[in-house]
Amino acid sequence: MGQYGFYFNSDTCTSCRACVAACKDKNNLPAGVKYRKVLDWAHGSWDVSDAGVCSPKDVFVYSVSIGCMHCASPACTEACPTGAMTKRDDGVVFVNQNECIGCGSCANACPYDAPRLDEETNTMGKCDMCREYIDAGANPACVDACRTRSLEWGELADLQAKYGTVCDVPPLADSSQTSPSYVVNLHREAKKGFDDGLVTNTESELS
Amino acid sequence: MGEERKRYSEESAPALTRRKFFAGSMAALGAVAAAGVSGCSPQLSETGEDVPDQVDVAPANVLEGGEWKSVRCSRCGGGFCVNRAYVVDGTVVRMKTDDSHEDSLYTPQVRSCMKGHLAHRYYYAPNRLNYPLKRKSWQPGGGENSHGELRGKDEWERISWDEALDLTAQELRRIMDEYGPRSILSRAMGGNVVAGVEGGAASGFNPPPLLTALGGCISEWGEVSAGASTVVSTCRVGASSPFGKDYITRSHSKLIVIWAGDYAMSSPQSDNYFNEAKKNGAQLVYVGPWYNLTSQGLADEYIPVRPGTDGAFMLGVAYEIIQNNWQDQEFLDKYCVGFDADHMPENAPTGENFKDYVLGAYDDTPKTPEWASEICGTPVETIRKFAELVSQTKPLTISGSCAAARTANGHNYTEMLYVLAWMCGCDDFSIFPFWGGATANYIGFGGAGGQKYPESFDPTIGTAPYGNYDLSNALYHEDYFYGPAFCDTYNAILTGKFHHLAHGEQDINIKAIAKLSSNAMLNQISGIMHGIEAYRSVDFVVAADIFFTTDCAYSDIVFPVAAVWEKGFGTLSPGNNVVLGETRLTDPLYERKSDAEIQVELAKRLGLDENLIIQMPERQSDFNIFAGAQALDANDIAAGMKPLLTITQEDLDAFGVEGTPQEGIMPIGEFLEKGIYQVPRSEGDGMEQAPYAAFMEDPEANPLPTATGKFEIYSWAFKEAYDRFNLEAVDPLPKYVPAYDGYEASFTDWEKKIKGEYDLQFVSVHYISQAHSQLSDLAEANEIWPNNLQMNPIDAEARGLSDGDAVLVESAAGKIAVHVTVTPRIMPGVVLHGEGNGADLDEETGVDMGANDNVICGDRLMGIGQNPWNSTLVKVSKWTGKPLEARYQRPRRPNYAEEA
Repeated sequence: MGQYGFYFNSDTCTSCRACVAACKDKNNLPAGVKYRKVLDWAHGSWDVSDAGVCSPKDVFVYSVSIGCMHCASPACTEACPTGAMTKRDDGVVFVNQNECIGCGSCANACPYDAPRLDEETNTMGKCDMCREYIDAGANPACVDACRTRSLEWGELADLQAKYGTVCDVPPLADSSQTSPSYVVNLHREAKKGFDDGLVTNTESELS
Repeated sequence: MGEERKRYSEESAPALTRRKFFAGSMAALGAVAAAGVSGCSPQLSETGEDVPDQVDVAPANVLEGGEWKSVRCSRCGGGFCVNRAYVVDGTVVRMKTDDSHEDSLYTPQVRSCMKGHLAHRYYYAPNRLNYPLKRKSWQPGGGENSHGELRGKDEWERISWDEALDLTAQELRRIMDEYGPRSILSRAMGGNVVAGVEGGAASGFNPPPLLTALGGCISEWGEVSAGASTVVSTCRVGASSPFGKDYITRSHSKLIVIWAGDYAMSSPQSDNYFNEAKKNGAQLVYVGPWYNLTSQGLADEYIPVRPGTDGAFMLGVAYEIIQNNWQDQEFLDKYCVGFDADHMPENAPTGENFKDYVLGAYDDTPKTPEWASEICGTPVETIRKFAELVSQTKPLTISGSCAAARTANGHNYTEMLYVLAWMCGCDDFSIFPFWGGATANYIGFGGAGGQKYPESFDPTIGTAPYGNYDLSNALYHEDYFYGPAFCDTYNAILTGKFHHLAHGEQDINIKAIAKLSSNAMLNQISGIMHGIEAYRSVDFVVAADIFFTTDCAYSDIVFPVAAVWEKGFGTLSPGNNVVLGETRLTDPLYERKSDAEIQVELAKRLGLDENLIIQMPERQSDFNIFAGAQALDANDIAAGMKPLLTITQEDLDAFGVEGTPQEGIMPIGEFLEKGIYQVPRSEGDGMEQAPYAAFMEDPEANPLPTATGKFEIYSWAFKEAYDRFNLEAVDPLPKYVPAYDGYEASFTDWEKKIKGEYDLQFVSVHYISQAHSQLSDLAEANEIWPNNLQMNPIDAEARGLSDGDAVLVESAAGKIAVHVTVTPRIMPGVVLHGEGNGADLDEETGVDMGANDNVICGDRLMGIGQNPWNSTLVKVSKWTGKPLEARYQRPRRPNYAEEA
């Protein structure tokens, strides 16, 4: 089998976070724990004249929705001391909770901050692409929840054929580290070449 | 506080799992819930056929033993989306959204925002009310017995239903007998879909039938959602809330201007209806004080304009258009009155025309882009470019929003939006962002057969809130008693005087406040600090609610109300191009009762005929509303509206309701399973909608319902309508007037640009993770959308603030503590925050730690009684009080179920 991946359209996403809530619900996560998050990346500045006229300079915001990137070269499986972090033949990376000792090595290694600790069981958990859904022929919860139809999943090769091979987008880590299974359509303003900006999320949005 | 904090940690801190969550808040169903939501046991490991062999552990939370049922999302001010709930033995364990049909651009799935996915957590949240409560120090009889000064500080005790009903009936009877119907204030503003209490015997805007049956009560008038947009729209356009063209017609627009509203934030899903236009190459421009979520997803250009100065911006645009002779003169001559001296209406007492006003003939002030720029903050060049773009691109859609009308001078934004459209020859303009006119012509509601309001309803004693919308439509009855305006209520309670619409200042003596069948009014109307003082001064406050809201916190008796999932037959509601329906999922948990039941029980104790409250079981009246639903049949448009649902005798028998079998478009069983009927649309389907088509065709033969029959740029009727409110004089022309507490008022010296104490403009927006107060106390909603104050980096730097800092926001009306997000998406000089947070006043410091916008926004009475939320000036400084937790970690409101 090949490698499954996610496609994300940053140009149409409004940062509504239905994907975050649907993922939270599907995975039964308590307050303060999320397997999917939406990063808001803000760009631009303003000039204010003495008369109070406000001139925006390249002001725009786009968002990036990420769960696990189900990387081709996952840092988490590499770092896991017990082999609990498992990559399936179809590329889906998941935690075998029977083997996990909750040491957090995977979370430290992951450049996307995907693995999360379940404090009750002291094991790690993360986006597993809703593997029982996709195994049954359905979509991951986040994809079906996407209000603006900005998220898709499928064979990475198919997504790349359809949408191209761009997977680097600020503020995400450089794709050369782990080869994420991700395709992104850049926001129309980002296509103009701006690549500096800042993440404006609070800690709780990213926890 | 410390104890609550501890309890919160134990119940809802990150360590909490869902299993614990259910055990804590739904003890009775704990075993059932656990079966549905636990998932790591080996017997649940079947995950499908193609499972690779290395999988030896099942995913968590596999669904089993239940079924998906369709529910309507009622947690919104405008979207109304489809949700589906996975129900295991009456317990909802997971949500998903619309998957009733293949998703397409023309007939999209009606997918909900995050609120829908959190609906079950919301309904099962720890602050749901489960039992009747009484404030400990309160006793009936009035005066000192009531210990009103302790409202909001007192302790609570669980009491029996009999006790709660007896005390309430006894006190209402006493006050009615001693002081008469005008001593009882009913607070009601939409009891059905946007309410804290969802639906009931008195849904909508009417006072609860109980109070009407008792002899009447008073309610409030004014404008909330629509701001100052209604009366001016009625007089200039002929409709209090003008709709534009439908989304398929709009898909051929070349330019779409979205003004001030944030579809993606406040009415998520309605923004999808612009996708086809975007695909067809339309340019989309957003105008407003921040690069909002809609801009992010749709806009090609963002134009910043300060709150309350949209009228000035548009006058600058109008000047540029006139200077270049870009206006659509033919449109103006044919369809409008008042643009220039040659096209004035017959009755024009002031004789002034719009063009000469813009050019400065009357005040020596030409409304040049330079003049506008200094006020609205938009660069001159941007104003010029926009003037050319908007006047030279057709077809044009101008899609406004009431947000900019929720200001002290909101009528000026509204009227200039229309005038700008007309100058550009545009007949596709709207003031409400959602529905876009799409629903009205496709879908109707029979409604007949539901519960009837008491016939003794007497408007000379007290009319329904908003004056039953008559006031919005500039209709006014000399004999009616409209009560105080929303922004005058607290003043009325505290001073014993109120502003009577027709007769000026009058005496009033309010002794009781009843919030039955409505949302959290104390929380949701501006001027909470003033409100708390007022609530503390009366004899009796009673609230019925689903949650322990701010209104409950300042009451004496609190009734726990069943949610829509727990009562009746089901609920029907309109959405974007759709009808949504849902059925009851469970019996009421704990001791909750429907609000109709509560009123019936009170009626019995008051010796009133319970038929005045309800005439049939709720299940039957709900069903009758379903049976009365109508819609257009896409296969037979010529037939006009048809019954929506096919209902057979077998259906009636199965549902256990009475009725007559009927032929409709869709079997009721299929409708309830899908939860939705969506009128299928396609290009050229004959369902296109153009509200002014007949008028455009022949304006003389098909006049508009305005005084002159035309679009009124000059409107004497508008001036007269405002005069009837006795609050503010307006001009028949759309002249710019600086807003009270607007940008201009932030200066002590305008010429030298010296700022006063309150130097920032505050904008209060609908916030995506909460529908007014609904979900605002839900930790899982707060963590995803923390509702920080948003501030431009320039303003943050000037105040020594960094991203994430806790800040104190102060206005003349009150103080809140909140965290700040520093972001360039907000224009300098403006700060923005989401409305709906539950107020949580620190009695020692007077600071609202819950960060409710209505603490900041005051209750000044003006205009047509609109709540002027977006005309508010504040100052912001670093917070120096006790540490402020992240919002999702703040103490929840107390869970009395636990103590009970």
